[in-house]
Amino acid sequence: MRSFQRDPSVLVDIRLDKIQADLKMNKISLKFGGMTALNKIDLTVKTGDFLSIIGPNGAGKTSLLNCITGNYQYQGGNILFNDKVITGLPTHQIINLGISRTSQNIELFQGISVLDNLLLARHMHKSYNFIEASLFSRSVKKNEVYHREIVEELISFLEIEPIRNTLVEELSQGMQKRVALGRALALGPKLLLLDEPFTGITFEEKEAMIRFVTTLNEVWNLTIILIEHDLPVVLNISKKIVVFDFGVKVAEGSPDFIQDHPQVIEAYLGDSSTF
Amino acid sequence: MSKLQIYSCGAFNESYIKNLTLFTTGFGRISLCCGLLFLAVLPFLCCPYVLFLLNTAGIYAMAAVGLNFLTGSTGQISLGQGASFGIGAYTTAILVSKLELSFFLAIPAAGTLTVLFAIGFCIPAARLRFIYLAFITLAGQLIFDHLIKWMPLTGGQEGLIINESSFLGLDLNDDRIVYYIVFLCLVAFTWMAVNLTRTSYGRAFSALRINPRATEALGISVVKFRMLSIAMSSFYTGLAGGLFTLHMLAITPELFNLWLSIEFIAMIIIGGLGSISGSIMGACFIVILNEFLIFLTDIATKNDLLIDPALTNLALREFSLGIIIVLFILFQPKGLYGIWHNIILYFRRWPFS
Repeated sequence: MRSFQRDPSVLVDIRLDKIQADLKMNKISLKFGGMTALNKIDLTVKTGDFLSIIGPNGAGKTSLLNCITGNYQYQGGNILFNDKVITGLPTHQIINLGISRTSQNIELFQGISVLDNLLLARHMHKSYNFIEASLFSRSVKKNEVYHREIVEELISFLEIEPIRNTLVEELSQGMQKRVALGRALALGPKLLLLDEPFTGITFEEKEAMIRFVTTLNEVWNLTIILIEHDLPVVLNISKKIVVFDFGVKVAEGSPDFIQDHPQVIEAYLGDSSTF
Repeated sequence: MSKLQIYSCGAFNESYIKNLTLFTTGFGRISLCCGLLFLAVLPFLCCPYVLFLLNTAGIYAMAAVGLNFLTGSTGQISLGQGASFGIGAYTTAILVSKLELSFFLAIPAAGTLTVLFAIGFCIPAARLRFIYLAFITLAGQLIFDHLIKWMPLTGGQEGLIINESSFLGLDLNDDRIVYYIVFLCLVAFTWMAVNLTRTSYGRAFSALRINPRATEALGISVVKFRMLSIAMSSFYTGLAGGLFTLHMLAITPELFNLWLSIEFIAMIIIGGLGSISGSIMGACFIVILNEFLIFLTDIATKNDLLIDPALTNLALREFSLGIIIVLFILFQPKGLYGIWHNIILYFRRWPFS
């Protein structure tokens, strides 16, 4: 019997600096009809970075994530992941390259258990084909057990053992967000995109989430792009912050630099002259 | 093999490999073996009429298990299952009667050809969500209905009659032989279907039903998996169609019209969407229902209870099937499988239920 108080094996390779995760965006422009959602965004993320994107509602933060994962077809510019152009690739191929994301409105699979949700994320790592699966050969069994172990390591890491057989719709918002993080991790990502993981959850759940996210970056060296509205949290945990306003990159820099940036204060608090 | 013992506090698995087995205790496995054994000796116990019905039910069950992949798991509605069944049946008939191929080769060939037809037809629909597949398969069904009547290859309205009646040297006029062929195919393909549902493929199919966008975000190609489920279901249906030819030895176009497609959908709704054993129960239910209605109309016409001569068996069939589907959807959405499951739960929790 294996004990699961051990390192999640999806993360071990990343820590050993085997994994490269460099994302480079060149002049991304996204338009919806006449409205410009993103205007010539340049952004570089290096391996091990913790980049946070902040900005008011409608600034284009989630749109940018959707551009990276291929949900939106942007009109201009291109995105390179590990020096490979991923512009125009369908979503599932981009995910297969090692970019995984959580979603603002969770998007777990309702009606199936937490465990099945996590196991689904292991689909692209399975080593058997359709025919073998229908015969349920020995190798299929072995592979299923292997993936179950990996998922159990993540369940242990995220401290969700008691709810592993619960249906996801019975869980609180905070727990659902934690399961969604687990599902993103089960994909074995090189780059993790988190869309508002701390929003709409209780204080304790938020504390736990912050602990997991910071551990992922600082202990396991996982590259993370975070979108979040909670400024105190963002300023505390991220290494680099980018500020968006109306689809334009307003400022970029370390948390200290961003805190005192006049344009950031303007974007968040409005024009100072009106006070 | 788990031990035959009664777990008074509930059976719990201690390793992940045990979680993958179908039965937690030895009793489940024993009852399955007993059931299969009973089915194996059944043809010697029942009269030829019941045997004929059993064969029909087995063949329909196989098609229903296939459709269950598409509608129950992946959540796509197909109204062209009758046409798939027909393509399988006609391919087998043509291969056997015109090319003098053995049934042994003709039936798998029929399954494969059905898959090719289905994939060719459904590629545009796989990119869209469920309702479009329903329409495109409806179109396919209607085209098939007419094409089969016009083509000289398919024998027009008269259909095809097969003179060759041996399967690997076995006499097909004996319904018992047909029974064993159908039985073996049904068991093998149901087993494969059960295996698929408990691996990653089965999970991906149901994920596709629940949330296609999130499925794509897990690195699973939605289009590929929709095509896979279409191919799977048409393969099962095509094989069932081939077995149908082997069973009837004469086929006519009106056996494979839109009504058959609707009956297939009724089977999986009445049996329980998404459940393999439910599909088999549903197929048996429909076959029994049809026979019961024939019996009922017979009695009614003899006793002059039916005044309107237009109320034939077929009209009564459509009427009662509609009522039954509505009643099932209203009162037992999980179908016959749900009823069965409730009974089992009652006994499992017995003193406290």
